[in-house]
Amino acid sequence: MTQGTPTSTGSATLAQLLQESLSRALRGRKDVVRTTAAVFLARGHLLLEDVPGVGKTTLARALAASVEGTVGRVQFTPDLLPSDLTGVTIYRQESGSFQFHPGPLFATIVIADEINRASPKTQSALLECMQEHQVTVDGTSHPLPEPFMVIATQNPIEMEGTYPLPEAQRDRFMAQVSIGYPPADSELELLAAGGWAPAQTTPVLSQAEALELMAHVDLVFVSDAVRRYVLGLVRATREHDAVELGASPRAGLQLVALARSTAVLSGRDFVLPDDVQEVLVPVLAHRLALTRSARSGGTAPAEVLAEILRSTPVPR
Amino acid sequence: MSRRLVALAAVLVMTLLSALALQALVVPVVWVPRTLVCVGAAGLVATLLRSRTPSAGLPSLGGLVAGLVASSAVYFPDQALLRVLPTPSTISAAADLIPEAFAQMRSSYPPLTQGDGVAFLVTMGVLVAFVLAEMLAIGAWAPAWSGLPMLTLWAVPILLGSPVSVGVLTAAAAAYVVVIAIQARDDARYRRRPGQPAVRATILVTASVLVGASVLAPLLLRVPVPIRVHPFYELVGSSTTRLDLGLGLRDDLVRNTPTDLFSYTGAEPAVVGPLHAYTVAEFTGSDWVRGDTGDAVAAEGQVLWPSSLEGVDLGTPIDIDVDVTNLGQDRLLLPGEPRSLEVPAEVAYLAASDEAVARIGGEVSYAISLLPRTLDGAALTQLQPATDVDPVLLQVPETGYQADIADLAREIVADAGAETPYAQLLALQNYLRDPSRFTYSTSIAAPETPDAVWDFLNDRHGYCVQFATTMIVMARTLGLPARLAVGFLPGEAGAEGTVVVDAHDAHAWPQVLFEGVGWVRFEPTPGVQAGPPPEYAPETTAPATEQTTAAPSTALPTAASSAAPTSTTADTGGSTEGESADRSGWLVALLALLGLVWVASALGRRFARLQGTDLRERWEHVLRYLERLGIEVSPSRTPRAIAADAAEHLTPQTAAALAHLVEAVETASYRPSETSRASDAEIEAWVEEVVDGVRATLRERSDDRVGV
Repeated sequence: MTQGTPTSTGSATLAQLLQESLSRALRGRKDVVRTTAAVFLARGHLLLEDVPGVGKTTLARALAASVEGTVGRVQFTPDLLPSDLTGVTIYRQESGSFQFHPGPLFATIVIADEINRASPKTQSALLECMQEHQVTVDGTSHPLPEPFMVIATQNPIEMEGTYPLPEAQRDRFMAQVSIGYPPADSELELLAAGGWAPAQTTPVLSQAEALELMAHVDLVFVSDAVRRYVLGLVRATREHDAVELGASPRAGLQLVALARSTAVLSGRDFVLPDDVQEVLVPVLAHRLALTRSARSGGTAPAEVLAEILRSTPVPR
Repeated sequence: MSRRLVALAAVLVMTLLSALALQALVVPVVWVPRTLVCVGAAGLVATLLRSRTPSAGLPSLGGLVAGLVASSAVYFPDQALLRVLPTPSTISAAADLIPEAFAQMRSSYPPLTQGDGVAFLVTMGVLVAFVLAEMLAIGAWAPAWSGLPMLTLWAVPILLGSPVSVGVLTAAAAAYVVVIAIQARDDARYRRRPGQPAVRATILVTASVLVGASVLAPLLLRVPVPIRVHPFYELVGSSTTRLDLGLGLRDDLVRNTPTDLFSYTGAEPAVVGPLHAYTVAEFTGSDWVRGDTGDAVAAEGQVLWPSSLEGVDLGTPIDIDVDVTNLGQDRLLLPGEPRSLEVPAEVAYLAASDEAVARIGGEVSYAISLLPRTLDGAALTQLQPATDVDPVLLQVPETGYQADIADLAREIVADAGAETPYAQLLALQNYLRDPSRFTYSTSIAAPETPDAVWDFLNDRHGYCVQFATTMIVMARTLGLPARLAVGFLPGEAGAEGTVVVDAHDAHAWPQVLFEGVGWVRFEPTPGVQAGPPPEYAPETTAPATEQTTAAPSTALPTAASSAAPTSTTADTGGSTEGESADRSGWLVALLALLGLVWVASALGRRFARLQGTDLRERWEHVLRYLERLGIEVSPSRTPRAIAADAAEHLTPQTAAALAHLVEAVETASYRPSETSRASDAEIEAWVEEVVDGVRATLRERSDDRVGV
């Protein structure tokens, strides 16, 4: 029933292709792949909370390859400096001028590995670039390439000597997901193939097409009813007993944005409450600060969100 | 589709059976074949259109047009194009036929055995009733409402007091129940109030009915009510069949089930004439009371007649055998002509009141030898009213209105140019029988003045007692001695020449005393059941009476009927009566308007529901079924999630219909401006598919449980 314009049908097909391409690279985790693709199309940034060796880099590389993009990879360490990310200006004696050497941030997909190991200073520099989509070095602004997406990872186990992202910083990531260990059959396949195969990934859409697709996502229709539903959910997080700090207005904006791109992935040109429900946990879970008693009681933010979903009526 | 056909057949059968209720008024052969053609054409076209369009009213409209075209082919082939298609001359032919039909209905007594006009009227009525019933039952899914147009068909025989076959009634009711059973739906789906569309539809329906009524009302008012209503009735209590002499003019006539009272053989009813049991002479202004009955004489072997028969021409004796089966009184029934009696009991004759008293029980057989006088208009014109009579026969009750009544009587007589007593009586009789002035009715309005006759002259509704009394009082104001006879109409001839009279034949009529011939009957009560007036007092032959009737018949009946009484009321200060009549008229109009709005809003709501504005309600309806399946349908769940859960329990076909329905709901709720919507018919089909599928699943489950 959702026959839209030919353009929207084409967009839906392209989005599907992107999703399928990622699925081939990271087998068995359709939901993660879907969220990654949706965040990319919504011009957001992704936070992966995972143990090492589950395919984070593979996912990022596959995404970059699918859109004919480049990959910049930075291993965050406590001594990493902001200029290690952004690049430096070097004086060229031959030409007598300063030349800018772009850092690893100048890539389509930037993998910020173990972001919580860098100093807060470096972290905030990265986050600023994510927000502004540009790098300022020695008073000169250098725009980052488009499309641009940061996939940051955190290791949830080895917390010693780390600088966990403060809530304000987490808010800048559109979604957080965990890849987790692959299902047994997928892992067996992986063993047989001898590793992930991002190299096999062929581009499915050009960067220009990717940008067009992103522009189309912005046009996806969101009814007042759905907006009110989003508002209801967001406000419910602020009033929930187990939550100390609820979702910010920005969280609501990003919820709508991600719901839009999810709708495109489903081949629709309007947002359903289903889309909102699908992306609620990835978008909000990492932003909620639970109360001490809730945390000691073993309550996870995802559980709180599920409870909120159950108690918020869907607009009809 | 097949269900729709069965429903249509049921509506058709219901309509035709209801139309058969008219069979006692118009012989079926006259109209049934042609009506069948027209209604059949309407039903065929409506059904064909219904399979093409989801609209509720359009197919019915098409059916109406088809029925009209068919009627043009059946009734006016000569005027029609190719003998089928109506032309302007068809319309003028129809317009000519209708007044003809009304004239025929007024001039003849039911059942009518011929007449294209009458058949055309019946066909049109049945066609309109059928189209309305079809639209309500099939188009609007409001089968119970389809009883309304049927009621209009039944109202005709009911109002005219014509007998209705119990078999036809039962069969029509059965067809009605079938229509309801086929078309009735689970109304729970429509629990919520629809919004704007209902209001719009209500306004539309009300406005169109009002406009239609205001256009039609002037046309209808020009046409006088076709048949003067004169129902069967009786003047007696329900347990006994005594004729009760407490003849109050203020009381409604109570009609009981017809009981055969007596029968007679040996003469035609027209020859025998009405048979009276009592006569009364004393009138109080609102009631007749019995006065002194006078001396009784033995009745054996004599010609019984209150006055001398010298010089009266008597016809040949007619022997009549009367067989009373059930009459709880001591008065024998006597024809209004000189007669001798042969009774197996002692009989006393009361000459003053012309009554025969016999000490008998409920059953008796006696013989009458009737010696009819030869009365004709020419002879009666020569006669003078009897002089030297009992003053009570000339007594006009002093109610304060006797002068008004006398003025009116003089005006009537003067207008008719009647000079002889006989012509004056004819003028009075014609005045009362004029259908544009007086209407037969068994219910009597509340008193306005102390004078029941004056009230009747203003209200113009009453039954035989009012008509007869009014003629008597008016005759008395003119100096003509008159009294009231109470008894029975002569009945109708049955098999083998036996005439059976039942309780509904009870009647009252005036008698006027003429010098020489004695008491002469007149018949001021209009209508079919009172029978024609006596031969010597015909309705229209007297040249003088034509003058009276000519004037009002050209003008509007309402204007003419109000002219006579109000012209006399004006100088007696009777304006309050007029005002209260106006008020009650407004009240009735207001109530009718309220009723109309109520019906229109009910129908409007029903139509609005059908216009698919309530996709949400249909979804709620589906949800209730899914809930019975064990699916969680809490408000926090999206349609899609619910459908995904339900799909596991349903057949692929049902699940697909559910998916379509969910998409329609989503589009309606979250993409309001989307233009490519599912049609109402599609949605309705999906809803039915899902509901049926869920029911099937539930049945299977319960079967499984039983099996275990």
